[in-house]
Amino acid sequence: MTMRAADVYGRRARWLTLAPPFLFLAALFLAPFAMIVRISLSHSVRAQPPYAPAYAPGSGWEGVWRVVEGLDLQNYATIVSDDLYVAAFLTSLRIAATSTLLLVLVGYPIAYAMARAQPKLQPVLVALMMVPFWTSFLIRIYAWIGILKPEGLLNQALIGAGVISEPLEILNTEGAIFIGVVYAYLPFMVLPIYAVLVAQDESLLEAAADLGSPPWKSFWLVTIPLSAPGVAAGCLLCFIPIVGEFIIPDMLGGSDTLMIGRQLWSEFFSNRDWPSASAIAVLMVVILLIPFFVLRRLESRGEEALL
Amino acid sequence: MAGDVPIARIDAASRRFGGVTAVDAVTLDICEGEFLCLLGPSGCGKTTLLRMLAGFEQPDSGRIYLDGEDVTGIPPHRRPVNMMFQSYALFPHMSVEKNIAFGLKQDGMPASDIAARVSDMIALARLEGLGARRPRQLSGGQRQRVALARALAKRPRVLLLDEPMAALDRKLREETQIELKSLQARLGLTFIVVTHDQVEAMTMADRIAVMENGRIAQVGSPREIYERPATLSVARFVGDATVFAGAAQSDANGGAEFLCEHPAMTLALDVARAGALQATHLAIRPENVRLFPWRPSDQPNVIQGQVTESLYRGDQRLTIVDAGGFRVRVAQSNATGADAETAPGATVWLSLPPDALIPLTS
Repeated sequence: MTMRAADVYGRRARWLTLAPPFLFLAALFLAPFAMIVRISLSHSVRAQPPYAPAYAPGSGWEGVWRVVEGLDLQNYATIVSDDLYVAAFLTSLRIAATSTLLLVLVGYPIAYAMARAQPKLQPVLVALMMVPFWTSFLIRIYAWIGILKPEGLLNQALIGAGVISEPLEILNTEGAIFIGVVYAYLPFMVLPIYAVLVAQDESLLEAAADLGSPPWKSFWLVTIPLSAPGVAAGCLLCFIPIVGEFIIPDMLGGSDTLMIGRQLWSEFFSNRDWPSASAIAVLMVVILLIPFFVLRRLESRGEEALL
Repeated sequence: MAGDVPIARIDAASRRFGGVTAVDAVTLDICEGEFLCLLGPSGCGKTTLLRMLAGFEQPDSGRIYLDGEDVTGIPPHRRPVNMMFQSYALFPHMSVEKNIAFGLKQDGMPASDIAARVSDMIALARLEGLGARRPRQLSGGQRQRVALARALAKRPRVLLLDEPMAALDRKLREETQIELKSLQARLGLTFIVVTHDQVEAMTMADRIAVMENGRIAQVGSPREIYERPATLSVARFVGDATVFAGAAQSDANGGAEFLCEHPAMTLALDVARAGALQATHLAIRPENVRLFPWRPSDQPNVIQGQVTESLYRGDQRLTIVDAGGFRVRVAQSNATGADAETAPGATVWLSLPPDALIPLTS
């Protein structure tokens, strides 16, 4: 009897603890996403709201049915068959993949140095990593224009040092996007890698040395494989938002860089084509779920192997 | 055990961490084929000494020799010793086989030889059928054996073991101690084991080096250490002992006696024992104290007291007797036919045989 009472109590307690996050997700993620999906299946019209069919207030279930009848996949067909959108998607994926690779190359040594720093110094280094967040993202990206423009700080410094004679064309190129993205997303790559490295058991490196492995080899055979989960988490945290990035390509990348985030923005705000913009958003979510699940799969396989 | 050159020699090695001297001018020779235990309480410097042999710590002064060669300053990956870590330090991303093969690969051994050696090691450590598992899929005892197999795979002439049994439960620990000892004898290797467990040290070691405060207090066989502890702290740390303070002097018959301060009494000493006349303390092992429920007429060094506690411990019982405000510990066998237990409160007489009194100087 007591067992059963504890069981019932346990089940109720579990629901009470699980309900708030479920409700939160349902209200703030699932419901808006359902609305976006519904708009993506509608047609653009010059009206308020700017899509049709719209639900006529007070028309009851019949009204709902009329809306469902009027939905189709026209917008998706348009996007998939339009080279411009396809190119924008591909460019976004390419830029995100390249940036993520650059972020690993830049972020890993930083995370490694942080994890090897004196324990007293480490909280300071982590805080320094977060300091940029105290300034608005927009302002920080805007500041890069001042650095990268032809008569900006970087070109002045390089010309002053005699490295170049003509200012480099950096702003409004893809290079500027990479610089901005690596700068802006660095903490999201460094911190997960740092968290894994700092928790790594130092005696593993001693064991490797004891068994005859020189330090560089131990790094390759022990440190790197064991930090893979941190690298994977960092890649996920960077790659996904970079694909949809709008501000950095818009401010630093110039007008000819086609990224899907900008396409979405212009469909929504310039063309007021909500259904097309929504369809782009839905496609983006679907595309971004692929790397997420691939990584989760790899991770769980890795964990299985580690278990 | 023979050989002119010791396989490992620590020569006046010191190591300081900040203001603390972890190892203080320690000199110790380790013979080939010997099983040596470094025994001491935590913080006595035993692990630092072991790590100096492995190369993880460099001495601030003094030298380390392995096989006659000065290895001071040589990094761990170029030393001919292997270590088994207290935490085992198994590579979590590698299978049991890959863990064992790790050191062999570093030596550039051909793959077929590696496979043969790994399967030898798996058989030796009784890990058959577990070769493909990851460390996390193993029990504590299995992990310990993987760590041992990995450290032995390169056939080091000296194997260093840092608290190898610390993570095992008591039953398994006893079995493993016996196994480790017979393995060492069979392979003819030199084992240097760090432990804080005196029973473990006595079970396994040919020689024990007792350390305290960064120095070696005594080196000797388990029997020497237990029966003839060189210092007060060795007597207290190794085994159980009741210690009396006072002063020794010659008695009228050319023997020796000890004027005990507390309880105030005079004890006859065995004058043949080294240092008997210089003793400032006397130690006696609980199993050497004899307990009588009546005043014995034919026993030396008899004192009267009251039983305060009687603790049943299975194979033996520990009785604590209050003799004039001083607590004396008495161990008695619980073997069938042994004397009846004495209840707390009972008046008893204790006899302290002179040849069981260990003279010590502080």
